[in-house]
Amino acid sequence: MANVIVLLEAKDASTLRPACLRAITFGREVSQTVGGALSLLLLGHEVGKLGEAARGYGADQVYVVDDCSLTPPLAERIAPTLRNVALLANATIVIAAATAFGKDVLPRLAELLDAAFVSECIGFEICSNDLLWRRPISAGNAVAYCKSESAHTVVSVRHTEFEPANAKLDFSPIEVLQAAKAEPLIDRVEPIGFEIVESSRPDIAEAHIVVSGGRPLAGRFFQVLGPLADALGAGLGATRAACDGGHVPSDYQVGQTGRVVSPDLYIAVGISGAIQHLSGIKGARIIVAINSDPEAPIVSIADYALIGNLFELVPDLTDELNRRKRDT
Amino acid sequence: MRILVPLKQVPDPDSANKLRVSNDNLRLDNTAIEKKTNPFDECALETALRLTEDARSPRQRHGEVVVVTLGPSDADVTLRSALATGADRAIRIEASDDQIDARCVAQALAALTLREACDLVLIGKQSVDGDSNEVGQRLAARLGWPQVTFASRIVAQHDSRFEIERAVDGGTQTVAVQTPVVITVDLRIVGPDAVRSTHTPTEYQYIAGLRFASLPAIMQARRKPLVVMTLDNLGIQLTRCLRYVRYEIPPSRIGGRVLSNPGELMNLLINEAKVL
Repeated sequence: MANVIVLLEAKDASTLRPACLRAITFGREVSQTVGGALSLLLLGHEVGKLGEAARGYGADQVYVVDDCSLTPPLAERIAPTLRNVALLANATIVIAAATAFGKDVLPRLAELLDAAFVSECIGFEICSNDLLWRRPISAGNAVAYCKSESAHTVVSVRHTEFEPANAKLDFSPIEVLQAAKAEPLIDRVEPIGFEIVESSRPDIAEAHIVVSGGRPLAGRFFQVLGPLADALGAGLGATRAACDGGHVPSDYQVGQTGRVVSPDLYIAVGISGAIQHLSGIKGARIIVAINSDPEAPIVSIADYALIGNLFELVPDLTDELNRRKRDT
Repeated sequence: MRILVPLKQVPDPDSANKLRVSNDNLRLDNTAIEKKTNPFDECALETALRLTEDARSPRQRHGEVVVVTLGPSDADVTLRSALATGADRAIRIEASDDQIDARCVAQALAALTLREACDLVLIGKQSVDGDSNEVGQRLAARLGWPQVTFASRIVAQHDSRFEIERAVDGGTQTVAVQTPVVITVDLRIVGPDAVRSTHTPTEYQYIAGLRFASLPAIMQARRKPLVVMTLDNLGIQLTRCLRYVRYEIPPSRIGGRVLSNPGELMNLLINEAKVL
């Protein structure tokens, strides 16, 4: 038996990030399998409303730590508090979504707990009484099963592999706890700015359809792909080459070093299909490649490939979509 | 400033699709794949070199760049090539892959960081084989140092203070930090304007990417110090906590239809794939 705690994240003052709702689903599956309690933890400042929201997911307990030192979130401050709460809750499995936040904080927590860290977990199973965690390695070219040999286990979950948890009718009990004391020697990172990537389009980790572009689009990236994404109600992503070209914010990057997506439909425009990019789209249900090169690696794995001039095909496809939308 | 740059030798990531698993699923077979330095760590080395030079005369180091790897003697290639690129000296900690996990690596690196009195550790944000994104954060926690992960730009204000841009959810955060600190870098850190030392004029633009070693530098690197240490020398007892027990190669996707007409694609997406 092991108790499970899931670290939640705020999207804004009153909503939880969709990624952590998916992490709750994973956490519940784990706690049900190992037969332990499930608790949720919310860290931040003035998070009262969110704490209330967190009560609605059927966990055995919700913990809230409300402290001005926890925002903006810095690993040096979050990890010690998280450790204290995990110990207090007697939770030996600590889970959070593999967002940039989770990836920053969880390995630090693992070291503080002398614990194993399972990165980007996509599932688990019980095998001769051992709990085995499943995770992709080498850009998703292999899947490994690993076993924790420490008392605690810290897990970042590839949340796109799981459905968001639904709110339930009953409310979990809530307990407010203190933040760990700041340690001046460690606490030397000073946030001085934040540049938000504004987008009116859906977040690619959540979108049902993602349109992504590669290097050939260059300076015409938004001009060509924007109307298609809007006609589909899609999120917009890009390859590393497109981001490095400076025409697209780095937040758009999909792949091993960027973000992982698992939409119903992924439309890859002018993307050759490097191993590192394919790593981020393995969960997509249908992949469409629009490419000038019929020999591009992506064509060999795409469900549908449209071959020809991108700068003609994409506007034609957009017009076709808009025409059919008008007709129905 | 003395910078420690840990380097990991990995199977060439561009051949990762040649990975195989043994028949009993217990071992990963990457023997057919050429070894190279983890690309993220190469970027960390480039960052360290840029931070310790005046780009107009890059052969002179202002500070010291020490590279380290854990591994068998095969991994010396990685260290020699780092020395040829500009690192001052190299250390190999004798270890075998099946003996260590990320926690052990952090333990060994922490001991070495203190022993070498380094005030900055620059490391890739993840290795392209393990993909764990773990060692830098563990090392910082173990040392009781702050961490700045996923750095895409570093500007040195003086030798011990940096302004760093890092990729976070929804945008880019800028932080200021004093040494000692562990910084993990993204591939973007090798952009033309991504790293600014206090010695290089602000208007200087680097050629994007990694620098190459010249032939004389490769010859000269043979005379630079490469020290081999054991875990005993470092006075540490490794305690591993994660064990890989089984591997699988996931089924590969099989390509479908090749089309040339957007209308036809629309029909298939609606009627066959049912995604629109």
